[in-house]
Amino acid sequence: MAEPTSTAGGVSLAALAIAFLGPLAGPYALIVFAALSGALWPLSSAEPMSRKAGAWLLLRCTLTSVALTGALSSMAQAQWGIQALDVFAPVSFVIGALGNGWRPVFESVSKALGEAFGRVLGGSK
Amino acid sequence: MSPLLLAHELACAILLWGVFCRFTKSSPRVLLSVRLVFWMLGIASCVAIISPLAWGDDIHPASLALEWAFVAVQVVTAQHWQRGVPEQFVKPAHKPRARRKSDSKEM
Repeated sequence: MAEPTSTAGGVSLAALAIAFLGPLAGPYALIVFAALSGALWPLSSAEPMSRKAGAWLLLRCTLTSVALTGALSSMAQAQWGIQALDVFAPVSFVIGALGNGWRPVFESVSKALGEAFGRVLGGSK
Repeated sequence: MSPLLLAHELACAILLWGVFCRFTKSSPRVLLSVRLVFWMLGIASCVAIISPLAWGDDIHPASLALEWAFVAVQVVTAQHWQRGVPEQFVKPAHKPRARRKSDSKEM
Protein backbone atom coordinates (compact mmCIF):
# COMPACT_ATOMS: atom_id res chain seq x y z
CA MET A 1 0.00 0.00 0.00
CA ALA A 2 1.39 3.41 -0.92
CA GLU A 3 2.39 5.72 1.89
CA PRO A 4 -0.28 8.28 2.68
CA THR A 5 2.21 11.06 2.08
CA SER A 6 2.78 10.10 -1.54
CA THR A 7 0.58 9.69 -4.58
CA ALA A 8 0.69 6.87 -7.09
CA GLY A 9 2.55 8.73 -9.80
CA GLY A 10 3.18 12.07 -8.19
CA VAL A 11 5.40 13.85 -5.73
CA SER A 12 5.15 13.51 -1.96
CA LEU A 13 4.37 16.43 0.31
CA ALA A 14 7.79 16.18 1.88
CA ALA A 15 9.51 16.17 -1.50
CA LEU A 16 7.58 19.27 -2.58
CA ALA A 17 8.53 21.10 0.59
CA ILE A 18 12.16 20.13 0.18
CA ALA A 19 12.11 21.33 -3.41
CA PHE A 20 10.94 24.77 -2.26
CA LEU A 21 12.69 25.08 1.06
CA GLY A 22 15.72 22.89 0.63
CA PRO A 23 16.87 19.94 2.70
CA LEU A 24 16.12 21.79 5.94
CA ALA A 25 12.38 21.95 5.15
CA GLY A 26 11.60 19.68 8.07
CA PRO A 27 13.58 21.69 10.67
CA TYR A 28 12.25 25.00 9.29
CA ALA A 29 8.68 23.78 9.57
CA LEU A 30 9.42 22.44 13.03
CA ILE A 31 10.79 25.81 14.20
CA VAL A 32 7.83 27.73 12.81
CA PHE A 33 5.21 25.42 14.27
CA ALA A 34 7.02 25.10 17.60
CA ALA A 35 7.14 28.90 17.76
CA LEU A 36 3.47 29.12 16.81
CA SER A 37 2.39 26.62 19.44
CA GLY A 38 4.41 28.45 22.09
CA ALA A 39 3.00 31.80 21.00
CA LEU A 40 -0.54 30.57 21.74
CA TRP A 41 0.19 31.01 25.46
CA PRO A 42 0.78 34.78 25.43
CA LEU A 43 -2.34 35.05 23.29
CA SER A 44 -4.35 33.22 25.94
CA SER A 45 -3.11 35.47 28.72
CA ALA A 46 -3.59 38.73 26.85
CA GLU A 47 -6.76 40.78 27.20
CA PRO A 48 -9.59 39.89 24.79
CA MET A 49 -8.92 41.20 21.29
CA SER A 50 -10.13 40.89 17.72
CA ARG A 51 -8.99 37.99 15.55
CA LYS A 52 -6.92 40.40 13.48
CA ALA A 53 -5.10 41.69 16.56
CA GLY A 54 -4.70 38.11 17.78
CA ALA A 55 -3.20 37.04 14.47
CA TRP A 56 -0.81 40.00 14.62
CA LEU A 57 0.29 39.05 18.14
CA LEU A 58 0.86 35.44 17.07
CA LEU A 59 2.83 36.59 14.04
CA ARG A 60 5.06 38.89 16.12
CA CYS A 61 5.80 36.21 18.71
CA THR A 62 6.40 33.56 16.06
CA LEU A 63 8.74 35.73 14.00
CA THR A 64 10.68 36.79 17.11
CA SER A 65 11.07 33.16 18.02
CA VAL A 66 12.16 32.12 14.53
CA ALA A 67 14.71 34.96 14.45
CA LEU A 68 16.22 34.13 17.84
CA THR A 69 16.12 30.33 17.67
CA GLY A 70 19.11 29.99 15.35
CA ALA A 71 21.33 32.20 17.47
CA LEU A 72 20.35 30.62 20.79
CA SER A 73 20.65 27.07 19.44
CA SER A 74 24.13 27.87 18.13
CA MET A 75 25.04 29.24 21.57
CA ALA A 76 23.80 26.04 23.18
CA GLN A 77 25.92 24.03 20.76
CA ALA A 78 29.02 26.13 21.44
CA GLN A 79 28.49 26.26 25.21
CA TRP A 80 27.22 22.78 26.05
CA GLY A 81 27.98 20.73 22.97
CA ILE A 82 24.28 20.07 22.28
CA GLN A 83 23.56 19.71 18.57
CA ALA A 84 21.70 22.81 17.38
CA LEU A 85 19.28 20.75 15.27
CA ASP A 86 18.22 18.86 18.39
CA VAL A 87 17.27 21.96 20.33
CA PHE A 88 15.58 24.00 17.58
CA ALA A 89 12.07 22.91 18.53
CA PRO A 90 12.22 23.33 22.34
CA VAL A 91 14.13 26.64 22.06
CA SER A 92 11.66 27.95 19.51
CA PHE A 93 8.74 26.81 21.65
CA VAL A 94 10.03 28.52 24.80
CA ILE A 95 10.83 31.77 23.00
CA GLY A 96 7.36 31.77 21.44
CA ALA A 97 5.77 31.12 24.82
CA LEU A 98 7.59 34.10 26.33
CA GLY A 99 5.70 36.28 23.87
CA ASN A 100 6.00 39.93 24.71
CA GLY A 101 8.12 38.98 27.71
CA TRP A 102 11.21 39.66 25.62
CA ARG A 103 10.72 43.41 25.84
CA PRO A 104 11.70 43.68 29.53
CA VAL A 105 14.56 41.24 28.89
CA PHE A 106 15.96 43.43 26.11
CA GLU A 107 15.48 46.55 28.21
CA SER A 108 17.32 44.97 31.15
CA VAL A 109 20.18 43.84 28.91
CA SER A 110 20.44 47.32 27.33
CA LYS A 111 20.44 48.92 30.75
CA ALA A 112 23.11 46.55 32.04
CA LEU A 113 25.29 47.15 28.97
CA GLY A 114 24.85 50.90 29.34
CA GLU A 115 25.92 50.76 33.00
CA ALA A 116 28.90 48.56 32.15
CA PHE A 117 30.04 50.99 29.43
CA GLY A 118 29.53 53.88 31.82
CA ARG A 119 31.74 52.23 34.43
CA VAL A 120 34.43 51.41 31.87
CA LEU A 121 34.43 54.94 30.47
CA GLY A 122 34.29 56.45 33.97
CA GLY A 123 37.20 54.25 35.11
CA SER A 124 39.38 55.13 32.14
CA LYS A 125 39.20 58.90 32.83
CA MET B 1 -1.84 14.12 -1.38
CA SER B 2 -3.93 11.18 -0.18
CA PRO B 3 -7.50 11.66 1.13
CA LEU B 4 -6.36 10.45 4.57
CA LEU B 5 -3.60 13.05 4.71
CA LEU B 6 -5.91 15.79 3.47
CA ALA B 7 -8.54 14.89 6.07
CA HIS B 8 -5.86 14.83 8.76
CA GLU B 9 -4.43 18.25 7.85
CA LEU B 10 -7.91 19.75 7.61
CA ALA B 11 -8.95 18.40 11.02
CA CYS B 12 -5.76 19.72 12.65
CA ALA B 13 -6.14 23.11 10.98
CA ILE B 14 -9.73 23.40 12.23
CA LEU B 15 -8.65 22.44 15.76
CA LEU B 16 -5.88 25.05 15.69
CA TRP B 17 -8.31 27.67 14.40
CA GLY B 18 -10.74 26.79 17.19
CA VAL B 19 -8.04 27.24 19.82
CA PHE B 20 -7.00 30.56 18.24
CA CYS B 21 -10.57 31.89 18.23
CA ARG B 22 -11.10 30.91 21.85
CA PHE B 23 -7.79 32.44 22.91
CA THR B 24 -8.67 35.78 21.32
CA LYS B 25 -11.52 35.89 23.87
CA SER B 26 -9.42 34.62 26.74
CA SER B 27 -7.76 36.75 29.42
CA PRO B 28 -5.76 36.33 32.65
CA ARG B 29 -9.14 36.07 34.42
CA VAL B 30 -9.83 32.68 32.85
CA LEU B 31 -9.04 29.63 34.95
CA LEU B 32 -5.43 28.56 34.45
CA SER B 33 -6.43 24.92 33.98
CA VAL B 34 -8.76 25.85 31.12
CA ARG B 35 -6.11 27.92 29.36
CA LEU B 36 -3.56 25.13 29.82
CA VAL B 37 -5.71 22.39 28.31
CA PHE B 38 -6.65 24.50 25.31
CA TRP B 39 -2.97 25.35 24.90
CA MET B 40 -2.23 21.61 24.94
CA LEU B 41 -4.81 21.16 22.19
CA GLY B 42 -3.15 23.91 20.17
CA ILE B 43 0.30 22.36 20.64
CA ALA B 44 -0.99 18.92 19.65
CA SER B 45 -2.62 20.41 16.56
CA CYS B 46 0.62 22.11 15.49
CA VAL B 47 2.63 18.92 16.02
CA ALA B 48 0.07 16.90 14.10
CA ILE B 49 0.07 19.35 11.19
CA ILE B 50 3.80 19.06 10.59
CA SER B 51 4.29 15.41 11.55
CA PRO B 52 3.80 14.11 7.98
CA LEU B 53 6.35 16.66 6.73
CA ALA B 54 8.94 16.53 9.50
CA TRP B 55 8.84 12.83 10.32
CA GLY B 56 6.90 11.25 7.45
CA ASP B 57 4.32 9.83 9.86
CA ASP B 58 1.51 7.71 8.46
CA ILE B 59 -2.10 8.62 9.15
CA HIS B 60 -4.08 5.88 10.87
CA PRO B 61 -7.86 5.82 10.36
CA ALA B 62 -8.44 5.46 14.12
CA SER B 63 -6.37 8.59 14.83
CA LEU B 64 -8.24 10.38 12.10
CA ALA B 65 -11.57 9.42 13.62
CA LEU B 66 -10.43 10.78 16.99
CA GLU B 67 -9.29 14.04 15.37
CA TRP B 68 -12.64 14.56 13.70
CA ALA B 69 -14.44 13.70 16.93
CA PHE B 70 -12.50 16.54 18.60
CA VAL B 71 -13.43 18.82 15.70
CA ALA B 72 -17.10 17.98 16.27
CA VAL B 73 -16.74 18.77 19.99
CA GLN B 74 -15.09 22.11 19.21
CA VAL B 75 -17.66 23.07 16.59
CA VAL B 76 -20.65 22.21 18.78
CA THR B 77 -19.28 23.92 21.90
CA ALA B 78 -18.26 27.03 19.93
CA GLN B 79 -21.76 28.42 20.39
CA HIS B 80 -21.08 28.79 24.11
CA TRP B 81 -18.13 31.06 23.34
CA GLN B 82 -19.96 33.48 21.10
CA ARG B 83 -20.41 36.03 23.88
CA GLY B 84 -16.96 35.51 25.30
CA VAL B 85 -15.49 32.94 27.67
CA PRO B 86 -18.22 30.85 29.34
CA GLU B 87 -18.82 31.98 32.91
CA GLN B 88 -17.87 28.58 34.31
CA PHE B 89 -14.34 29.03 32.96
CA VAL B 90 -13.76 32.37 34.66
CA LYS B 91 -11.95 32.61 38.00
CA PRO B 92 -14.45 32.94 40.88
CA ALA B 93 -13.20 36.40 41.87
CA HIS B 94 -13.94 37.72 38.39
CA LYS B 95 -17.29 36.08 37.69
CA PRO B 96 -20.11 38.47 36.82
CA ARG B 97 -22.40 38.85 39.82
CA ALA B 98 -26.07 38.02 39.53
CA ARG B 99 -28.46 40.91 39.96
CA ARG B 100 -30.71 40.92 43.00
CA LYS B 101 -34.43 40.69 42.47
CA SER B 102 -34.85 44.06 44.16
CA ASP B 103 -32.52 45.74 41.67
CA SER B 104 -34.27 47.85 39.13
CA LYS B 105 -34.02 46.45 35.63
CA GLU B 106 -34.00 49.93 34.19
CA MET B 107 -30.59 51.56 33.96
